[in-house]
Amino acid sequence: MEKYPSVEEGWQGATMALPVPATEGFFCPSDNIRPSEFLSVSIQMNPRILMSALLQFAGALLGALALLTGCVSTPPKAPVPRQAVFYPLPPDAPRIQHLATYASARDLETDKAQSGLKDFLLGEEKADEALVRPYGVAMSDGKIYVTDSRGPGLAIFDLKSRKFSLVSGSGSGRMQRPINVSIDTDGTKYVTDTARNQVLVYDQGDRFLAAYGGKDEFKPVDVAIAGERLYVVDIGHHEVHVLDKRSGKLRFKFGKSDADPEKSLHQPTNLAIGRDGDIYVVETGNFRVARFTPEGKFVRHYGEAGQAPGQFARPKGIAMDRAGRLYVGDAAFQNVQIFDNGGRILMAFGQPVDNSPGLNLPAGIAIDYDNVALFRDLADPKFTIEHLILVVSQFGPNQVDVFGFGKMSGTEYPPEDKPESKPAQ
Amino acid sequence: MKSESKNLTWAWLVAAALFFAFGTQSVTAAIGTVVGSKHDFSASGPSATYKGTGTQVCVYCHAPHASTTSTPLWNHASTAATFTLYTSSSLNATMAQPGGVSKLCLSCHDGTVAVDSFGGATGTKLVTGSPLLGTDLSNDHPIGFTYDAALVTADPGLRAITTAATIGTGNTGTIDSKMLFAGKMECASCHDVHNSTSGTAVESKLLKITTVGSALCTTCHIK
Repeated sequence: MEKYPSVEEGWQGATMALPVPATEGFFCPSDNIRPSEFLSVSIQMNPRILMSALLQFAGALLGALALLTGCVSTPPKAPVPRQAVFYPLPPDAPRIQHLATYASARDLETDKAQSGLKDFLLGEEKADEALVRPYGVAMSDGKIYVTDSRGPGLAIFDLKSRKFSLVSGSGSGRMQRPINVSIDTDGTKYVTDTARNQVLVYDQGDRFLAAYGGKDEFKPVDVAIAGERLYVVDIGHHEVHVLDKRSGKLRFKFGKSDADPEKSLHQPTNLAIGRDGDIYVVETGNFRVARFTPEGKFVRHYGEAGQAPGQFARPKGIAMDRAGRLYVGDAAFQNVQIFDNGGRILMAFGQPVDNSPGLNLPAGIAIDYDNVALFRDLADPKFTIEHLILVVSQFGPNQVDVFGFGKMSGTEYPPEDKPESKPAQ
Repeated sequence: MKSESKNLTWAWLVAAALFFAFGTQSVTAAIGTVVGSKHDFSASGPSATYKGTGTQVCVYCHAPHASTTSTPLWNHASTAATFTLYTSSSLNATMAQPGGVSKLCLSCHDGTVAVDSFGGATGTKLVTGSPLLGTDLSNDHPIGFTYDAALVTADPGLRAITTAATIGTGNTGTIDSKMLFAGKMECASCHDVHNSTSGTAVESKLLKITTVGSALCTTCHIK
């Protein structure tokens, strides 16, 4: 067997530190040592010795990598085989299936076995590749947008290219504490920021366009788009401001009622626009949802304070589906309650079931009909999904959960509610 | 004559001083009750921005246990008559989460309804990076971790949980009995949200122990 030249002989001018075995004889490089730190080679001699040195180096490297495979086989998060989680629980007919959870870039990886090697080469997952304190959510064109108030910025889970990115804006477009986001049909994004107290506008390419809101004008928690109008919830003055979406100019406000203080808004946070055009505003401080016409005329309240189904203890997010149902998230109950348009409680979902930890201080909710195809393979084969429900959890490992609303084939369902209502003109 | 008017001036000054001394008490609550404190959102509450039109004070955190007659239409088989508040599964034991006590605080203190001053390190014991209180609070005091004998062994800068601790006025106990909740540190370990006589030492921040000499910090930390 050829004698390997000693470190001093054959590697004249070259320096290499070999990995030192740790306690068990294996060296796990996740202890903050990257390959570059022990491979500093400076070559400055005779080509023959150079070739043999390079071959020996390659051999040593392969040997080192072979030794290190012990680390690769134990990635930090082993994928747990998941049982399908349905709400409501049996024996009631299932309506909603939990499909996926997205907390960080890791959840977008398609091949989980590679993550260990990736850790070795690139180091532990960087802090900015995960959600920190998300609140609002929206979905558009295969991407899930989550406003992260502590990112701070707009986190984007691109489901088609399986990439995660965080857009924070820069200069006058810099987000300071983004809370909610709404995306228009042309891709324009409206982000509410409660540190700047403005609604920030970005175009389809995430370029900053404008900031609406002057000094003490509003403290915007949520924004919804209807035609040429923006409906902005102002928690500072307990009102809803209606702005022109292109200029940001105020058209009118509603929510305060001098004639009947019972009808005034108190600590309104999120809002949603129904298919019929009506505005549904969650009043966190009054434990109810207030419904108004697009011109701001009061229609009715839903809910009251309490612990029973149909009541609220800390209502926050709201979304509407095309059948006029209200989906109201409650941070105290850690669930989302579904009401029909007449106010009848239908069901609640999001509680822990089996291996699924459930929602954790749920905040923003969004409903999406256009991207159902992306999740079909995650659903039970007999369960047909009609639309997706995305719910953000502000704490805990579950940060954005995607649920599918639909029906299981072969199951009896009670005679159906009203058909989809026509969209408002 | 001159001394008489001088006495009268003094009398007026004393009366004015007394008037203002007692008058200002209606603006901030004395330690003793949540009514009139920063968490009083009723129509007679102190904060112009946050007060509502109702008369109730407790309902903002304590949901009333009312029973309704309607059962969920799609969920007939549900046996739960009421929802349990702020509980979540402890199945995922790898990451400690803030307990129910802190979740109640965090459900409003998220930057929208109320000021979001909590940085966000939940479930971790160690503060990474230098804990410099500034605008970025993400590396400041974490919550939701278990403070037990094992932690004291691992960190010799912490006092044992049996160490005596006095909160508020004359409320003596140990760290474990007065400051921890099921062995965990939560928001309520330092803050007495009810502003009670027996639990609040600093009313403006609703703190349980005074910050004079950093007594609040040194209750648990040996520094």
